[in-house]
Amino acid sequence: MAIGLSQLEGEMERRDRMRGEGAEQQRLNRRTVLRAGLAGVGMAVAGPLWLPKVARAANAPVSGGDLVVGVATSYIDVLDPNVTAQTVAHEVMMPMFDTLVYQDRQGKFWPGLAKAWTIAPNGLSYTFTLQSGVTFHDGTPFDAAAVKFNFDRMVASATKSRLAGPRLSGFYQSSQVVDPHTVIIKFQQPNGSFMTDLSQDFMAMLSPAAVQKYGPDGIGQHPVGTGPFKFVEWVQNSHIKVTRNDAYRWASPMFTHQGPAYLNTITYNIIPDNGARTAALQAGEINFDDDVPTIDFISLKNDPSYKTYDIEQPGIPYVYMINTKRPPTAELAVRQAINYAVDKKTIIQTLYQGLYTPAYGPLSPVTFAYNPEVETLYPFSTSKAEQLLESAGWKVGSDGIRVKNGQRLEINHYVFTDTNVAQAMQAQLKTVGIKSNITLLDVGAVNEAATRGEVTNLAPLPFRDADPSVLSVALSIKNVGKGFAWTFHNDHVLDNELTLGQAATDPAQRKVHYFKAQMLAMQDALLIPIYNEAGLQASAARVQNVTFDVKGVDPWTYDIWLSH
Amino acid sequence: MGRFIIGRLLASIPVLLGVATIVFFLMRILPGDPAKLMLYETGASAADIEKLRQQLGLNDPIYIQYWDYLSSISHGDLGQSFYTKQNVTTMLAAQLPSTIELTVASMVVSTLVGVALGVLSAIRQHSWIDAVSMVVALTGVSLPSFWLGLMLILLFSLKLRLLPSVGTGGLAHLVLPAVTLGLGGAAIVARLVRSSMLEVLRQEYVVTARAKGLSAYSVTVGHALRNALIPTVTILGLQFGYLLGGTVVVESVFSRPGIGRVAVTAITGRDFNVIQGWALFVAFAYIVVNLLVDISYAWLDPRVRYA
Repeated sequence: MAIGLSQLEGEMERRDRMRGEGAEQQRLNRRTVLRAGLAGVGMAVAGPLWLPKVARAANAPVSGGDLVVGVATSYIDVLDPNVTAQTVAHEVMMPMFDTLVYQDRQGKFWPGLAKAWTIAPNGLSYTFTLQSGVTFHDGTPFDAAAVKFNFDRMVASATKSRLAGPRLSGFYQSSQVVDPHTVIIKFQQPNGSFMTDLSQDFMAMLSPAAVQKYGPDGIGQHPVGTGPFKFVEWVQNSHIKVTRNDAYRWASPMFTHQGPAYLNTITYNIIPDNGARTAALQAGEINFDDDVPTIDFISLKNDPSYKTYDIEQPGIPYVYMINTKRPPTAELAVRQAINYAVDKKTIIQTLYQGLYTPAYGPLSPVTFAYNPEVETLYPFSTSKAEQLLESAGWKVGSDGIRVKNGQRLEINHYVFTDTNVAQAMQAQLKTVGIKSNITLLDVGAVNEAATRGEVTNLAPLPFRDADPSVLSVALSIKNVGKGFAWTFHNDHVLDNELTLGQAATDPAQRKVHYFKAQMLAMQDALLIPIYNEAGLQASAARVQNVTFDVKGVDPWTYDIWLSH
Repeated sequence: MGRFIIGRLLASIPVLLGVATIVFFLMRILPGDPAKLMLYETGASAADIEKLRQQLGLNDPIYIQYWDYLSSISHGDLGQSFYTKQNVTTMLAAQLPSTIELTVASMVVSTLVGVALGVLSAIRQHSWIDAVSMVVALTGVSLPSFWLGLMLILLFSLKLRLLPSVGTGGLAHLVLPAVTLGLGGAAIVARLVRSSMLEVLRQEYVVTARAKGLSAYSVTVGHALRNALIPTVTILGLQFGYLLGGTVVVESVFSRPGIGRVAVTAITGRDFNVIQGWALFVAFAYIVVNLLVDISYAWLDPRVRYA
């Protein structure tokens, strides 16, 4: 304040001298007013210094502190963002890597490593203008050549990419380096989900020099990006540690500050057991828990020592896909009756303490292009379910289970992990005369059974994804029999809408097609949606400014700071 | 003795070969496709699943895959993990120290507790000490380890703040996991030591030792226990082998790295090379431990001689 004042006075004196002595009277008045004004401003700014410490701490981010995250997983496979499909691997890599663009939870795209971009009207090329002065953690420069290197690597056969590669295959053609800060990505076919994919960690930029140095298999143990944090160590099955990158000056304007991050270090501790992880948070051994069971969530929510986060997630909600080739679910009436007969609200209240919302379609409400009309199709109604079954010729037998032409109305419900939801459904379906037989196997066996479709009627398939193109994975005819499409349906109209939605680069156009696709899927009752997945996370109260990415899974650690 | 050991080690080769073959074919017969599971979290098209299968070599004819596998293990190369792209040997070796640490500590707990309870019950047979010891032993083996582990965490880490709850780091981090795992083993050891001791205490040489005027300690430990330990050592050997492969529950509850967890993750994800490598390792560990047990008989019982 004092320095500013004297500088201003000095400047005014200089100007007065230029105007001549006569101005001295005016100058004195002006100087008085100026001093009074600046003093007033000074008090207004300094005033809060006298306020209680707590209020000040909550407002002003401070640098320093270590975030210790308890990660709910048994292991992390590989720290190569362009290879792994594992959600937790991306969670721990996000602090170390940047993407060309960023997407906020409202769906808007922000500059990242690319400060500007243009999309050709035919959707076949994207021109990115890159930020300058960006370096990888190993000191090598980030430039257009690095972008080209990364994209070519994602689609290369030898990389065996599990997420980036499949997302690009059939679309990506090549990258062209125009100059060190301009790169053109060319497509053989337009891809409406590309911008969203580009904002995700699986398309983050990896240092080409590091890939050369560590080799294609070694790079996964030594991640080198441009992010606000640098890799320190990875002790397998134990923890991953990263430390602040003090050279970081290219943060996306989507964030609330610029320059280096606030936190000194972040340690990700792998703690597979839910009870042990909550205990670790309560014992102060970790200050962030990335997955809290619903019961613990309720008690932490009511405890002022903790902050809780309930984040809705886009993609395919918790649903069971219905096999349309195996009786009795081969009949539309049976599939629709199942949709009417399941009381989702009761399931959520009983099993999940009411923390989730009921799902009515193949996309969750926070997904781009969600069609709310699906909510009108199958409100909970046991009478409607019974009516449908009666009209279809299923008459109630002596033991309460319906029969038609000597066949009992029995379905095989395959699950993995636990049978809780399936058991609740079993009781509800019984009241309308459907017998559900539950089989619990491990995930690989359920996958296999559902893919063949010979014994399964219902099988679980939630896919968390930021883009509605995930619908093709579950519903496209070309994925039936070998992929994750377990419905064995044959609706080419639905298929067409999915293809058009994937290809359109205009968001309004994509919406039209995906809206239709969701209605078609639900009118044909190809699935029974149960609840919308939400991330339940918690932290110590002193962890500030926690915001989540568009997937609803990972916090933006760059803006997080710890108060005292 | 030397020839005995070498003979046993040579005999282990066909055993290992058998294990390798059985596990290899078993993994390929069981349902569950590694490529599909690797792509499961976010989904992928059928075409991409097929491409990954191709890249992982899973579409090659099975006899070619088997031959490749045999030739690589004969060179000591256990292959690469599908998921982590790391060398299987490196992966297991990195996790092994933590598992060995936990196994040894659990063995110490179960041996000390088990032998103490067993001896106590035997010398005070039919008394209340006997009854209580056996009930304690029964409780130890009945409590599920994940429940016991969590209860210990709640009590000692959360309420009393005496011990850390999760992770590795030192002796303090080892106490709760070792107790959780060791109590179950203690029960078996206690019962075995008790019945062995009861049998031994009726032997004539024990009566003789008492008659000679030796102290109670000398009779019980020096003469009786030493002989009672022979069947116990067999059990301890088997326990060690079992623990080495099966510490997964305790490792998960206490968030300790270990080969048990690596194995379960690999099995769920059908990471063939890791599962095969782990199975070979456990088989080899069993062979070595049993060999050590057999050698220890020679030390414990002078009547035993190996040609």
